[in-house]
Amino acid sequence: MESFDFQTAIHQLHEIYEVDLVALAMVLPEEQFLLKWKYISGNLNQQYKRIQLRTGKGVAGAVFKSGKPYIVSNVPTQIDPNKMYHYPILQFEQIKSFVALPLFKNHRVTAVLLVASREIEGAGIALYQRMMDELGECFGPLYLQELMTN
Amino acid sequence: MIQMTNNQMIDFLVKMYQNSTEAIFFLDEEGNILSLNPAAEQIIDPSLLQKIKGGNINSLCSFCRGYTSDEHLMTCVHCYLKDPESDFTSFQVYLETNGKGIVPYAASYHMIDEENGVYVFMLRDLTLQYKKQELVYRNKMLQKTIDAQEKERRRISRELHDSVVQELISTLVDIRVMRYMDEKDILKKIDDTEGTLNRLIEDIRDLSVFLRPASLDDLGLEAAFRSHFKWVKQTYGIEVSFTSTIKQRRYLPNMETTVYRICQEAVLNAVKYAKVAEITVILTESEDRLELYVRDKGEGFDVDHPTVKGSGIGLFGMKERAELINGKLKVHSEHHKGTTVFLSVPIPNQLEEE
Repeated sequence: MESFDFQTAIHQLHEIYEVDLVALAMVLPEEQFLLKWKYISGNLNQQYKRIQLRTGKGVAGAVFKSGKPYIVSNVPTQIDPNKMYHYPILQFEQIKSFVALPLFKNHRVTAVLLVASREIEGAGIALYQRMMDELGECFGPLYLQELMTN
Repeated sequence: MIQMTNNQMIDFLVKMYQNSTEAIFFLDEEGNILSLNPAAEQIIDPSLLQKIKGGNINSLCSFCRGYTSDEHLMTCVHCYLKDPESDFTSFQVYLETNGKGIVPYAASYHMIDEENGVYVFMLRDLTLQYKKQELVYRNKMLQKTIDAQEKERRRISRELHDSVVQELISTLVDIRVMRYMDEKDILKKIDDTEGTLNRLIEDIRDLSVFLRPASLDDLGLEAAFRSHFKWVKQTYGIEVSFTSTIKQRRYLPNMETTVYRICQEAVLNAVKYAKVAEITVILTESEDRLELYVRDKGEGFDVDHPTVKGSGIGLFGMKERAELINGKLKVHSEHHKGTTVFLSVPIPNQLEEE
């Protein structure tokens, strides 16, 4: 896993899908229940570095917990403005639409991939479909689907 | 409507003067009482009334305690009697009354006879209306408090159900599955289960700290603040720059709780609404008071007419909490300049003697 160049891969996604922001949150190796935004491309500021999310909290935490993609094509109408503070990455980066995908290793979510736009409807179901078609089964050493082997 | 003769009109007016529940005074230009109706007599202390009737005292000032101006609640500055140019058709005046102390009245004061310089001063008792208003306000706030309490319980219940119970069930399933697994796979599964349990412990710890931080009881305000601000930084990505210059390590428990909760609320408000990346918190002592500043340079809001974004209980709750320990809470805010919440609490002497 260490040998894979996530940063370059993130940059590539940023270019291919012509979105405003691509970020990858990963579980901290020492504490399996904390997530941090490790790799990012297209960010406006460095505030994302402070964020450390627990299961169920924030965009990454929600995906991490459910193991399901989280797609919001219109943040201002689909997320209660009074609850926006629970999603610091959306606020700091002024995200208006996004697709967040769980990435698996050993049948567990170990990372969350965020592909986001600063425009409403800039990211949504169509983008999700396209990504699932084009990326295939893997993103580096991580799987896009939880494989049902046992 | 029938055409009224002058005599009929006079008759009506006299009856109104005699029987009205509104107190009516006729005054001259100097504010001396020319005449007063029965309703007005009832307001005034009997011994004072004697003196007024006997002509020993004439002035309204003998029982007037000031009026509510733009700047003051109860003042004699720019007295309505001495400023006939201003508009005093409706204002609030405080009178020393018979047996009921100082009571607010809705008053009107205006000239009725320019030639002879006669003015009329009319009063309506506001106590009943005030009490009703207060009751309505209290009920509304109580309802909001109950709602907030219920909302918090729902949140805790959901948290327990969604995270704690869920994770426990998944662990239980994992353990059941182990019965049918190869030894090699079991070891890996145990690792996974350990991870789940660790996460669960962390969740419960979080929930427990949120309900009541143990560090507040064990280590005091400074330590509790530091760990809370670290949590704020991680969860919301907002830096809280904290400075403390308090000399005393510990204060009375209810004082520590109050200061902690008010600070928590003020910081959360800043996180939710100010749209900033940094919040400043200062904890300091001045003379015999403990002072707390929570400052942000964010959006700000209109303190007098806030647009309620949350439950609407936050600011009110903070003030109520502060008052319970004789503290004072001030909120200063300007649009696009930021908000400062200032709390000042007297430090009781007992603890120093201990």
